[in-house]
Amino acid sequence: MRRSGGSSENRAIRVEVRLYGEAARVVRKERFISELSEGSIVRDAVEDLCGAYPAVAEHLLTENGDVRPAVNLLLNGRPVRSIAGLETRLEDGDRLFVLHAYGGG
Amino acid sequence: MRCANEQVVLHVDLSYRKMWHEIVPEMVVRRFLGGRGIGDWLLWRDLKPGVDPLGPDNPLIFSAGALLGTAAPTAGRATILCRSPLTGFYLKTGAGGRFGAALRFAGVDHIAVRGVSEAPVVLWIEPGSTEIRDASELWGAGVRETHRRLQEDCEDSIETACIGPAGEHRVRYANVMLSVYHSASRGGAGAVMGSKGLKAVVARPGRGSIGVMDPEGFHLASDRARANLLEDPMANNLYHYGTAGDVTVFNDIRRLPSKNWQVAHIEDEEAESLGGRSWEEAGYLKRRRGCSACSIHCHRFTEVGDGPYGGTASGGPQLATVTRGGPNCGVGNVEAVFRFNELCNDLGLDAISTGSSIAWLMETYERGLISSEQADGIEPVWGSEEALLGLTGRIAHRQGIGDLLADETLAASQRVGGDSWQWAVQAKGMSPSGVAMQSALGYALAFAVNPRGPDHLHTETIAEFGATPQAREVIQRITGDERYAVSDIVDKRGEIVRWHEDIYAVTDALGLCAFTTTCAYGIDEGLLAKLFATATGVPMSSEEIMTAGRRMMTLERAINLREGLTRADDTLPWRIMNEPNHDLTGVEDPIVSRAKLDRMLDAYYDLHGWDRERGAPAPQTLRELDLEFALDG
Ligand code: SF4
Repeated sequence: MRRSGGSSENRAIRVEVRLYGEAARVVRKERFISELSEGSIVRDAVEDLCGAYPAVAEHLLTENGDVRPAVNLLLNGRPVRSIAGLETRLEDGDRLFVLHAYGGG
Repeated sequence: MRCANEQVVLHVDLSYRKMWHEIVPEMVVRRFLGGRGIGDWLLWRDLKPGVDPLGPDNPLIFSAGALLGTAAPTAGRATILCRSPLTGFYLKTGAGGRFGAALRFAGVDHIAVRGVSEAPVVLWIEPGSTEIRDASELWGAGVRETHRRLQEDCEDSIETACIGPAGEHRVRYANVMLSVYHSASRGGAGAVMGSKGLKAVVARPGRGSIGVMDPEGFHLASDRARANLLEDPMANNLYHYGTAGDVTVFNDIRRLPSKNWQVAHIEDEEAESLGGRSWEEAGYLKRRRGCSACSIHCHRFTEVGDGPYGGTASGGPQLATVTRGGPNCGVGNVEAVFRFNELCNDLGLDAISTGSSIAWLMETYERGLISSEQADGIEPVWGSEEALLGLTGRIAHRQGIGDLLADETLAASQRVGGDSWQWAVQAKGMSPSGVAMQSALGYALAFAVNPRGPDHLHTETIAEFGATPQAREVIQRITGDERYAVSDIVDKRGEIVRWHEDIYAVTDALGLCAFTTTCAYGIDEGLLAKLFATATGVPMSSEEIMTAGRRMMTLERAINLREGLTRADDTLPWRIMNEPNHDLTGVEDPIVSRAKLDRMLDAYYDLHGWDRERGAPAPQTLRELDLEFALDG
């Protein structure tokens, strides 16, 4: 379990990470459960995913650790860039969507 | 060879069997460009306010975009305009395929049909000749059969714009099918065609071609556009997965309006199979297709091999068909949705209004306001494939319960009574496209003010999701800050909608596909101007061309005001404004409240220079747009 914020007695939270397109192909998986401590942020879930599947890191993050411009991270349907980006706090049961371009016509 | 700057209108009076030609003056071309723009100009001039949409005086206008017949990427769109029998307001509806280009090759850019023929007819256009032919034997035929039989009459390849039985029976949302599988869907242009006794328009292109004035400049601009599209991730998605590619995503993020907009998702497995990403592996996808000159190829041709729906084969389905016939009716079997698509295409029905009317009936039945006996023995329960498909056929022929549904949800709810108007999810009498407006406020505003009704194919603000770097850049350009590329905030929605209106109108007028300007972003204002100027020789800057788009939107507004539109018509379905949808996750305020919509409307009217009471353009606004002729209504 990854920890965040240095607190030692955090309870666990579970975040479902859903992957689409390229990211899903790389990890050969569409769902990943990230178990994190309370107070964790989106960056922790992304690092947890990249720790479990190192090959996905280069698809999602730049060398500086920022999210690549072509990647969308949606937390429960909202883009995290409209909340607090990678610093956005996670709650138990949250769903984090990792996808490239999406839309319809 | 004809030149791209020529714009010829063929006028046809079916009552008196008279035809004559009109050359569009260059000043009008400069101001309205072509396609939808010239169509708007003709409609303003030739439509007298208050005429019966299904009577002889409603002009039915077919307009080929200004770049059709050239190699400009995606230059294949034709527009059909009239007063809508569904909303009573302005209607433009468009489609791709090859009909529009063939029309230009045959020597005509616009057709304005008035009057009513006593017997069914076909309008046959070829280079150097136009003819009204008898079509009595075609009346009653489906779209595919109609095209096939017309093609049998001609050695060369022809293109058709025709109606199915739904248009003949004046279903208020009957479509017109172009090149067999391309639907000019919304608002009932097919019913207007049916009311005139016009079964089809045939364009025999012969060896016609369209020349451009500055070939080198034109090809440079076209190549630039194609290169941009090649790099655009949305264009890539459209090619690989079609418009329905992301049903799974919409479902997962709870943005898939389902069961008549009561919930925002269906079962995961169902969404998976309904989404276009799975069709190739499942063996349904037979071909990817493109309209004239298209470099994206979003169209599909799908087939079902065996099983109860074995043999089903048609063009599409598009996203709207999948979501309105599928999840909105609780139907998760993709093969049933393929059949629904085939039926709508062949019977000549708008799939959005059809699926939405059936969904309304399902809820009305669930709430006990209609019985199975009243529904001709059909049990219209959520997810019933039998109900979906059986009702679709009945609607097209106005049989039994189909007659009720053939006028769409508002009219049906007025006949059934009770509270059924509350779940008639409509505005201006038209069912909306399946976008979760509560979390996409640019769409919400665009739907409310759309002159033809709450629909995405007039102003699509997909950039507000900020789902690609290109989309965020568009928002940056419009608002000065890419942080506005978030769809659930009110701020800057007016600016975002207005820019999309302008560019969408120009895209339509040139006959390009909106996927090049407002979904993928391969063609910007500068390239639009360059393509138009190099093709026609009419000088045009990017500002001027966007002003032409604004001019069209404003004239469309003026047409609607003349038909009695008020601010109260610029609204959204009651359910969207009054029933919080808690199935939409991550949305703080899951309705579009009156206050929220009013804020957006005020800002939008102000930006346009329209008054806040009616949304009427100020005289100064009309003068600035060279629309003095609309000053007196
Ligand atoms: S992207 Fe699709 S709708 Fe647009 S022109 Fe190409 S095939 Fe036609």
